[in-house]
Amino acid sequence: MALTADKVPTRARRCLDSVRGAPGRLASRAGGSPAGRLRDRLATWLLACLALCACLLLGSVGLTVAWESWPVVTEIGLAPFLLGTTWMPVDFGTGTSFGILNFVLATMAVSALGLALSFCVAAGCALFLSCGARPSVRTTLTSLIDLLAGVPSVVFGFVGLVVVVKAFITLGHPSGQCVLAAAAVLAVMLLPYTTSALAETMDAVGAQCLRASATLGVGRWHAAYAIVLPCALRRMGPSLMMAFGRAMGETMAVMMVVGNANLAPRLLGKAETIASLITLEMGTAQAGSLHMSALFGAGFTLMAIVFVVDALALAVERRAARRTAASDSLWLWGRAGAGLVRAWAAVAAALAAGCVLFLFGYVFVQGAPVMSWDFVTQAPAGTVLGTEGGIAPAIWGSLWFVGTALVIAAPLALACALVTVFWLDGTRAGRAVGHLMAVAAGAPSIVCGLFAYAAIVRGMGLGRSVLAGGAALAIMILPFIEVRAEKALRDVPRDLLQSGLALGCSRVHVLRTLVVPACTGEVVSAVALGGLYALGATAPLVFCGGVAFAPAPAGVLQPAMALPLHLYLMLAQGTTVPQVYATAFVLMALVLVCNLAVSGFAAGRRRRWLRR
Amino acid sequence: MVASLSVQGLCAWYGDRQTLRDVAFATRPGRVLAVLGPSGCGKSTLLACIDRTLELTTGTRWTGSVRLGEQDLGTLAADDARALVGLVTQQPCPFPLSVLRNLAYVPRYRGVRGRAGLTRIAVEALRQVGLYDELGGDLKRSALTLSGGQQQRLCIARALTAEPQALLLDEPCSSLDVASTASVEETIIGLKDRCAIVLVTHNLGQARRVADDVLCLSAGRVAWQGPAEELFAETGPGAAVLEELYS
Repeated sequence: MALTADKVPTRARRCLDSVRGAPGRLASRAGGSPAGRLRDRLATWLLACLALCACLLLGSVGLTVAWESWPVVTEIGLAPFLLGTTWMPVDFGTGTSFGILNFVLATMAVSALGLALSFCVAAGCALFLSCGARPSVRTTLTSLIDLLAGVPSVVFGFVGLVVVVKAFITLGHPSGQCVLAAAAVLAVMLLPYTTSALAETMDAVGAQCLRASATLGVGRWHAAYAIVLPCALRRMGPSLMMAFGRAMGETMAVMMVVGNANLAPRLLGKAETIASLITLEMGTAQAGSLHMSALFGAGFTLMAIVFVVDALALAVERRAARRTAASDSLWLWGRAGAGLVRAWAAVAAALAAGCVLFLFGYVFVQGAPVMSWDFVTQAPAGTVLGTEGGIAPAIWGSLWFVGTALVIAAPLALACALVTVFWLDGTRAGRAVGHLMAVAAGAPSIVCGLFAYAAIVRGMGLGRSVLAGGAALAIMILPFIEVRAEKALRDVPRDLLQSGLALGCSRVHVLRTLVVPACTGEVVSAVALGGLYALGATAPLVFCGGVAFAPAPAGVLQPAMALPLHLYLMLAQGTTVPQVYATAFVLMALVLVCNLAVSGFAAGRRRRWLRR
Repeated sequence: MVASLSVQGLCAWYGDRQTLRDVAFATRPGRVLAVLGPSGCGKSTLLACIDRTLELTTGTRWTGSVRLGEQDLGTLAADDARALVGLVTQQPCPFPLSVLRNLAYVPRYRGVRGRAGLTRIAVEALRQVGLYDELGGDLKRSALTLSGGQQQRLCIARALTAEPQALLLDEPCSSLDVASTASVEETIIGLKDRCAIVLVTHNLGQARRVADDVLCLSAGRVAWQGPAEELFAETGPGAAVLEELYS
């Protein structure tokens, strides 16, 4: 619910009234006295510095990875590197070879196929949500699908391994791991993003058109088929391209299901994506070697491809916004077509809901019998680590990683959002920051890990530590938090700021007393969701801070275990005992509970603010 | 086939709040009935009840009789009832399609095939609202590139392609400039022989120019109804009625 201007909370009104009605006190208000003016100036400079740091940090990710990749250009050559298909990092007498073409093709093939599969379901589901569902059904289904966005990638990979791969084996595939299996898992992961983007597009088109169509005596599904769907299809290009970029950056889930073989991608054949290559080989590559440079080069290539795709998406979006939509309807089969679309929408919605319920239900049912207080309070044990004991150090380690990431990312992201909305709005610099954040939000998480490895683990000589892992996660979640915080700040009515400024108050004072309190719930929610995003990330921790076994850390310079990494390592050892399910259970339960808590907090905060 | 529109004992509720109380009136082709009244008196709700679009909003209900000739619209399926009564809303809502596709929308739904037939229907509808010559016959043009007044007339033309037996207009000129308002009023006057027209308006001057009969609503009840000339006559009950309504 947007905060409308006519609902200026009483607290805000009291603030304005007190400034208006007490001229004697005006001099003591911030901005009215020399001390206040100095404080405001310092605050403005601090915000500007933090925002600049945020932009420099994100910019330096690309520069650092490019710098580490430079030996690829000088010693291997760009063409052999990009177009070669042989990847031989170890010299067995025939020399080493670093060609990443198969990895690039596999990355694009898995992503494109996953996106296509996801789109088939997402489009129907979005149509159902936008045109066919009652408000209560829509809210329930949307919340259900949004739960998928919080499920860690490693859990998707885990379920993909024990369900999808096994299904392929049952159907006769020799190993079950193939491009199609990876694409199927990726399709489910992309569902919340593709569905919400398409539903948003359809809502924009359908709201008035459905009602206008009803006044003409034409049924709802005919309007959905003849107007909403074709118009949405024309406008969804940028959203799909962004989703494609996101899919290419996906690491853990794909890596666990795709087979990891340097082969040209085929539907039922094994393959290996760039992200998988980096994750699997960074631990064995010698620091400073050509092998390591090649891995950085692969990461830079992935980042460059995602950047180009996202830039194209933004350009297409800007161009589409300037054009007036005038599509022709698809009404090829008349009423039969509308009936088919209706059936498709219902099936897609049921499929989407079914995927969510199966995922959560499967993990909870399998993991619940092992859940106990001892499991969450004891350290892991067993010949194969983790098959006995508990996950306590991993829980503490995850909290340390997330806490460190938030301490680094939250102030930078919030400062950047404040500066962009209230100082740089409408300027070229503001637009540049917006583009940087949009592109950085799509950067693969593995690249963040590469940067942290180069800058902190090796560059500062700190080795694997909570600080390195937290920094990698911070870079990953910084644009995530910034984009959401920026939206929350923009949703606050401009009248609040202008009214405060018109009374002679300084900008910083008005922001602090009126604007930020109006959206505190949403901002805190953005930060908390960023933390949840970091909680489920595995790839950045694999070679930065996460280790297979360590006690609960006592400081940021120590290495630590992490829940998702612990889950991955157990699976990598070929273990699927109940402890594995229980670890996934804890991870998903943490995400679920925290999500609910954050949503409740944001809603409660908004209600309290409006009642003051 | 044209028919008279008659409403008897119409009551409507939004939740527990009753917005219409025993509204009754009748109108016929050849007459324009203007519905006047202060904001919140139930004018738009009245049209929504007749057109059965009130049912699209949750928590609403209505009782009473709405008849189009001998046909009780309350006994029909909602879509069928709406096909008999055209509604044009305050805000023009052309579909994001070409002019031709906007006008071919309902005929295609009803099974008309062939580009020639659809084009003929579209041209006829545009001529009825005086838009064909203005567009220079360019039916492929996007409806979204038309001006506000043109869009509103396009919406009227689109409603006419459904061959309604009554046409309901809910403040069709409120978001238009003077020139566009004049063109829409001219269109309304030109259409009145085709079907019964009910026009909700805040604009007393418009009601005076366009209406043959007037229905005044106040707090959901009929405050006055009768010929427009009687309401707007210099002597008579009109001034007192209007003062009571808008004071």
